[in-house]
Formats: sequence, C-alpha cells, structure tokens
Amino acid sequence: MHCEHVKNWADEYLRGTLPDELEMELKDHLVDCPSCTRYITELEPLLRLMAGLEEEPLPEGFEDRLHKRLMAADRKKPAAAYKNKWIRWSAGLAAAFALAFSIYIVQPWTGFGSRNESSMPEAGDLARDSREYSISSMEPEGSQRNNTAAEEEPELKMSENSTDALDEYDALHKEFLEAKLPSAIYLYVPGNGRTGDMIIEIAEEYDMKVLNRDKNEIALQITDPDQIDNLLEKLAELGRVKTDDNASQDNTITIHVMEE
Amino acid sequence: MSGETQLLEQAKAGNLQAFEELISTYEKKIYNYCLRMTNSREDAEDLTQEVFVRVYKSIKTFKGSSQLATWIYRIAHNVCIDKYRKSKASVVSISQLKNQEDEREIELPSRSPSPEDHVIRSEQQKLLLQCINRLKPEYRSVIILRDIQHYSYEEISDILNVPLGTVKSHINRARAALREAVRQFL
Ligand SMILES: [Zn+2]
Repeated sequence: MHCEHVKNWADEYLRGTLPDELEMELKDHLVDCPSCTRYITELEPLLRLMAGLEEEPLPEGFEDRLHKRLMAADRKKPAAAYKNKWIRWSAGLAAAFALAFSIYIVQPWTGFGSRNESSMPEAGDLARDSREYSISSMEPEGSQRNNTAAEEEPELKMSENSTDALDEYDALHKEFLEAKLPSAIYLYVPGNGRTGDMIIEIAEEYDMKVLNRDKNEIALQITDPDQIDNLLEKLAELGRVKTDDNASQDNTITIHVMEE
Repeated sequence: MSGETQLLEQAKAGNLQAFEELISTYEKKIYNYCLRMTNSREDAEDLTQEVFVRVYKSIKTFKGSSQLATWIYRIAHNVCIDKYRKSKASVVSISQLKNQEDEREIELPSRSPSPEDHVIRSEQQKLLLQCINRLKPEYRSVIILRDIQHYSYEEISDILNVPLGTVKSHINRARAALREAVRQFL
C-alpha cells in the first residue's frame, strides 16, 4: 500500500469499517512508515470530534411551513419553461441557418473513445440507433411553427416577466444540463481541413480548457455548464452535431470530428 | 414496484401528498447538510425549504438515471452554493484560515481545570463547526458528506458531479486545514 492510499482509507480504518484485507495491508504499511503513522495519529481526534456531531431534528413546524410553500409553488406554476429553453436554442440556430436542427441521443456502444477509427460508428449507424428530438417535438402543443416563424421568438419573453418563472427556469436549466452533459460530441463535417483549429478557437473563446488534441479528437474541460449551449451552437455552425447518451463523469467532453 | 418508485410516479403526476411522503425520508438529512454548510439553524431551514421547492418544481424532469437521494443532495448543494455566492463576504480561503488562526480570531476554550467532559466536548464541537464554516464551500461540502454524514467517495462524486480524484484531494486538503485550525483546542 502506498502512502497516498493510506490517506484515502485512514478514516474507514479509524472507524473500524475497513475490510479485513485492507486493514491488514494498512497496518503493515504503518509499521514501516512513520509519516503515515503520524498522519493517522493526528487525524484521529479530528475525525472523532466530527463523527460525534449528532444529527439535529427538523425544526418544529418544518413540514407545515414546507407544505404551504409547496402549495404556493403549485398555484403559480409558469408555463413550460423547460420547453422554452429548447425553442430559444433552436430559434438561434434556425435564424443562422434556416435549417431544422436535431439532437441525436445515441445509445452507448462499446469501444467508445478509442483512437481506432474503425471502432467509430458510421453516420448511418448512429442514425439507426438514435432517438431523435427535433424542434417540432419539443415545441409546446398548438404552436406549430416553421423555421421562419422561429426567428420571431414570440413566446420567449413569457417566462421572463416573472421572477418565480425565472427561478424555476434556472433550476430546471441547471438540472437539465447536469443530467445531460454528454461525454462525447460527434461532429460530422464535409471535409476535415481546419475543423480542429476552429474547435480550438471556439474553446478558447469560451474559456474551455483543451486537455488533449489529436487529428480527429479534441478533449475539452467544461468549467461552466452553460458553456455547453454555446459550444453546441458553435459546433452546429461547422457541421452536423450528435451527442452521446453517456453523461460525462468529470466535466470533460471529447469532440470527435467525422468526415462525411 | 417499490414504495418509493410508486410515490415517485405519483409525485411526477402532480400528487402533492405523494411528493411529501416521498421526501419525508430525506428532509432530516438535507436539513443537517444545510445546517453544517451554514452553521445556522435559521438559514438551514430556509435553504432546506428552498431545496424541496426546487425538487418539487423539477421532479418531472427526474429521469431516474441517478438515485433520488443523490439528485436531491445535488440540488441541496447547488442551493447552498448559490446562497454562498450571494453572501460571499463571510467566507475565507484555507490559506487565510490559517493566518486568521494565528491572529486568534477563534475564541479558545478556557484551560481551567476539570470542567465536565461533555462540556469540553460540546465547546470543542462549537469551535469545530466555526472552523468548518470558514472553509471554502467546495471543501466544506466534501468534509460534511464524508466525515459527518459518512457517504462513500463514489456517492460524493455523484452528488457533487466532480471526479473521484477531486473528491479525495479536496477531502485531504480540507482535513489538513481543519487539523491546523483545531490543533489549538484539541
Ligand atoms: Zn506511508
């Protein structure tokens, strides 16, 4: 066992919840390592004090007060803030390209992330496996529109008149992004001439960190979930965009550039 | 279909009573998380209520790809961070924390002989909570989740949506800062 691991297991060791095998390994390490022994000795009183903080009961009347707030929230539920998000996004794109824009959410496949070109799915494969969300399917009922109409954004102001609506919008927006931060984006372009450079430029414009760059693969670190919108919008200017359905576990996104 | 799954479906369909039953399991945990994040019962109640109102408003979008508990905790974390952003003034960084310790901003407990054990202990806990409250929020949340509420590294990584390695290094740094801070009274 390395000293780094001792740090990670120290608390369970002190609480006595470490599996026997690991406990033996850790004890063996402590025999020969004075610095880890000191670490554990110093950590013990702190952890004991923290573990001794007892859970406090809910304040009296908590549930009644919450009930009132939930009832109030029910009464002023604003219309479809969640959907407006999509209209706004699509409308921007429609205005730019007068093209219908779709996001494909594809099933995870094995071999994802490999550098090996042959393991990459073909455009056709993705389309077959995809559930497709288009502008029209995300629109509120009764507001069938074409792309020209989308440019006018007639309903976008609706929720902005109300602070509560905005609060809800923010919460939904945040949760939505957190749930949907994809781990990979597939960008289908006609030719892969300067695409890589352009992606780097976009990344720099939005303060995303470029973690790695290969010929057809660029890994970015996203620090602000809001950047995803900007990124997808900008990428859609370069080509056809698909995202995978694997939520990114570490705020990094790999963009795969595919020629079609 | 388990009880929770059924309640979840009903809550998603807009049944307030089902929603309240669904969240009753989590209220105390979330309240205590907010309490340790703020070190104030009043703020903790406000934030906890805010958390469940947000959960209620967005329950329809809950996909079930993560545990309900994880999702609620994540909202709680966001609510606490938002609150911190709105009142940034009272928080200091870890390096500042150490300097402030040198300036003895924290009142030391009296060293007078033989007060009862539990008195010392509760005094120590009060000081500890002050120290935790002065950590940056990202350190505060990992230390609360790990050392007070005893979640696994994986669960914390899910809740905070940060990589496992970051969770571990934040916990180690937070403990180092706290050890430094509590050295004087432990
Ligand atoms: Zn060691």
